[in-house]
Amino acid sequence: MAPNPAAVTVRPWMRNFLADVLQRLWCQRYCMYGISLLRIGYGVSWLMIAFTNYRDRHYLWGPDGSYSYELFRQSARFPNYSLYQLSSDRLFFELVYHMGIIVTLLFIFGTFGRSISLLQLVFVASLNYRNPIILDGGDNIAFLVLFWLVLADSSAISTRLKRRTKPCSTPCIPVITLLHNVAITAIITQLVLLYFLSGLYKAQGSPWYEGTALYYIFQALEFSWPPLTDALRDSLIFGLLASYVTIFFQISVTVGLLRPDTCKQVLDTACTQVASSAEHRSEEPDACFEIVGSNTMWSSAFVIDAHKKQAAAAVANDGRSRVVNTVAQLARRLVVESTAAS
Amino acid sequence: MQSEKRTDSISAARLISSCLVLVALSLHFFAIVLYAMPINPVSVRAQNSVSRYVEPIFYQNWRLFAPEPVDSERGILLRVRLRRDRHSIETTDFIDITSPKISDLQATRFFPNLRYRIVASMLAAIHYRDPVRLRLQDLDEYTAECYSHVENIDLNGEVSNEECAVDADAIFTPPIRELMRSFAYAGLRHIAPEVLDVALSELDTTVLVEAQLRIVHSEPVPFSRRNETSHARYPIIMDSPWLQILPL
Repeated sequence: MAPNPAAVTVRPWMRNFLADVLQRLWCQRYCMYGISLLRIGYGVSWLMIAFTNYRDRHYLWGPDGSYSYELFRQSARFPNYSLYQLSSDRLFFELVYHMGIIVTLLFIFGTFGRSISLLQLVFVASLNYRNPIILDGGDNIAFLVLFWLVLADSSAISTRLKRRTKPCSTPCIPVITLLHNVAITAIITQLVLLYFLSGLYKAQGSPWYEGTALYYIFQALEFSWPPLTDALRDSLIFGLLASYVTIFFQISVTVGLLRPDTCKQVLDTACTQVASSAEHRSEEPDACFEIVGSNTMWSSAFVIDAHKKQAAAAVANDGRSRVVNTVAQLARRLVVESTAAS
Repeated sequence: MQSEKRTDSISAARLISSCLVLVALSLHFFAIVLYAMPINPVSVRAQNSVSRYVEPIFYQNWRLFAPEPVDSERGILLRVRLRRDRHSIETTDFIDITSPKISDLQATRFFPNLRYRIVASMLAAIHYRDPVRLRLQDLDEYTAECYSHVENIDLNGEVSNEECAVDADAIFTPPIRELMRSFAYAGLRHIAPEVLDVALSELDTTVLVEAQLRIVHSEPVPFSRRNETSHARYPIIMDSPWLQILPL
């Protein structure tokens, strides 16, 4: 029998390494609680916007609103790109708008899994494209995150609350797991790009590096909040510090997001709050680690098979980052396996 | 042996799939970076093809108050012209349709009313200049000419835009006019129906209704003059052409 080519051409350590990476990508869903929290937070925010602007819905999105139906039809890129494009009837608008609110409620509760996420994407995209002139950066990133959220499994919290079982305690479907992990990676990458590019643009602007940017921004009534901003506007120290901290934070958050330690500090709090609401908290010390794990996966795609709890304990004990541990383990393993091979 | 073969083939399939997904994701974000990053020779060259991919779904803009922050107070006034009979045309006073919403905006910071964004976006659309043209110094100077400084503040006074008549078409391009027409129309229906002293239901096509928008800016107080109490912020105003808005 002819030998398996993979077994001949791939060295054992490489083979193990690839097997490990594949195992992690296809068989282990990361960030289950984090993504679930994201879904709930997103839904609540969207619901609040829908209610806050409920009285003005016709003016903002309606057929006779500030972005007229004709203008909307002319600017639409594809046929039926938005549900509101199907009809200019006022009743139809009401129907779609209120259906969107119902879908958002179901989305918050995690009913119907990915199907409801897809519906939420359709309704959010429909409303966004109905009046693009009222969108801002927040709407922009929210939509992009929602796009990837559709691929992710965000049912952890609702599953936990309903069945009192760990998410994915039954065998997961590998393709779905891969899609979930790809979605997590894409969301993190998108956030990194947002902060990094925004910081880069600010670093190019003279008001930002001269420390006067906030002074000018606070003069615009739409971005002022008297009397707080009036007091801050005239402070030289605050203006300079705030400008530099903003630029520094936005550019360096990229590094922060890639470091699991940083994320652990931020996400542990949220995770603990969620976990404490569940009855079997003591059974699931790994839940927080799963959230951190998503970032670990992204930052160090070449993670070796460090046991979760051992690695967590190592991080807690000696204060070194998990990346350092991982690299050290990789090095040790390479040495051991190359010695054995020779 | 059969089992090992099967495992190997599954692993190979997964490896290939993973690589394909990784390549697709990398290409996607490479296109996003080219699209959203500050202007540079590579992004300019790739602009057309990258835009075709990114804009339909993945449009994004992360300038966010940069490089130049928003720094002026802005608002829009509206007035209408009615022809009630063959011989007389009645022009109403301007009415402020945006400033009253500022206080609402400041009261609800976390989930604000979105009305005010319409004003900001319209002004942004009017003042948008292609960054490549700006970089190439192919910059038209018409904007400054088309504004009129009003030192004795009377926002209802007449403002002459004659000096920029030649360039008015460059500012109020057909899409901008259509946007303003839509805004004026919605303003009359939803924000200030009292501008029309006749009920909307009574209007018909025999009554000519035209609207004009007056865009008002207040320049910021320069940082170097922040302590000068005498420094006044004179409004700068620009009137749109009369826009036909019937049928309502």
